[in-house]
Amino acid sequence: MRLSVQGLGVRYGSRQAVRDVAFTVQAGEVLAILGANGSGKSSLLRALAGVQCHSGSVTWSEQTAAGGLGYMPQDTSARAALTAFEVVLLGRLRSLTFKVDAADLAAARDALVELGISHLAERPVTELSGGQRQLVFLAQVLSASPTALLLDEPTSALDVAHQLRVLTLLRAATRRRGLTTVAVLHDLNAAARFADRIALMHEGRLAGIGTPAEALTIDALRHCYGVEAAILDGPDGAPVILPLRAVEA
Amino acid sequence: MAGAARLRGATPGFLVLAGIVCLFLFQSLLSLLQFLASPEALQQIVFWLFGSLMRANLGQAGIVGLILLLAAPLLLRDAWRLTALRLGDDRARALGVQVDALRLRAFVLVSLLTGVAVAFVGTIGFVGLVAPHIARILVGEDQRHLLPSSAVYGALLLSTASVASKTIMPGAVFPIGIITSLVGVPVLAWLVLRSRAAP
Repeated sequence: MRLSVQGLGVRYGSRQAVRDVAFTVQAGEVLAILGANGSGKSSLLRALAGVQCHSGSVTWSEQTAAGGLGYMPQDTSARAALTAFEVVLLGRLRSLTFKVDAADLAAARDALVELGISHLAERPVTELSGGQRQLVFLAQVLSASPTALLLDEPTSALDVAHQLRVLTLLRAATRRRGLTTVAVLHDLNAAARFADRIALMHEGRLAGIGTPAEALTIDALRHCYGVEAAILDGPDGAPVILPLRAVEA
Repeated sequence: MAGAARLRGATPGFLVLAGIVCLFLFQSLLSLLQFLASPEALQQIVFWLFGSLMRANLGQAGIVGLILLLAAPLLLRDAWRLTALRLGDDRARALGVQVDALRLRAFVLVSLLTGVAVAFVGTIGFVGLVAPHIARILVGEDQRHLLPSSAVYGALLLSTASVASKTIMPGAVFPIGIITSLVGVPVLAWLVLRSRAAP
């Protein structure tokens, strides 16, 4: 499924959070959205997910209602006394009936297994750590067998091993199932290693888009993040970003 | 209230504040009614304010039952969506829930159910606050189980209070609303403190 975005803008009252953003994402591709705090990344993702009013157009090449968009918001707090399994099962909300079908139960179980958190199934989500909850909500998104993934900082609360595991899994699922994956990330090096392309946001505008090597340049990092950085060659060909110092404004 | 909620976004905090505003408004109107009422009507109003099952009859119970029969399937049809709403508005929207429409539907049905019952038996406080909290502790937040359980525990609570109201003072019927409040306040306080103490 191909995603095409044209002239997208998001406004909160008098503040224009996102303006005139345009890009396309192909099926089987991972696009990482990077940028400083408040640069409009989450607003852009919410607009793509259809949960935020916006101007401009967001076009999917196929009907998204059947499999649905797998949108994972940034906030992973949970106050509901639901078990992890119940939370994951809610990912199947579109097909859930009063008496739950075996297919829905199996999809929820499979998603828990895929993320290696079956042992958390009967634990209340309120008693899980932030990282564990993030995995549960990721399993919720995957349980719906979506045709597109829109993930807002999906690994922000995870330890480094889980980050690697989750990002590897997401990239493999994107390739294998032909998903269209857009993920907001803060970790520049994770984005450089796991994304096919990177979109850099700055003050609500798209400052650049391209392969990691094209997008993550010293000038772009200075412009978007206000940092001096060195860029090294990584062992697997992806650039390794080494932030050196913040540039005085 | 629903209109204002649509303008401002029907967050739980907003609904609570709007509810308090409505409470003061209707308390004022009630005071006005009492001021203007004849002595006989005033007695009826005071009796209604105490809350009592004494004047309930089969006809009234039939009307309440009929409304319940109509509302329950509509609420239970939304059980999964209401469960999803417990994860927060943003996440519910991400799961495909039309949050504002769902909240309005639930709001209308709950108002109807509560309004019909209160019209016949007066203000018997704390039943609707305490019973769902007890049910939540016992059956969790899956609304398929929580909604019917809340109704059952509410009925049990009210029946127990009714029996107590008839036996607490020999030869007289103690106002049931006073009993549910006396029991409900400490139970609710304990539930609030318990939830705040939880990690």
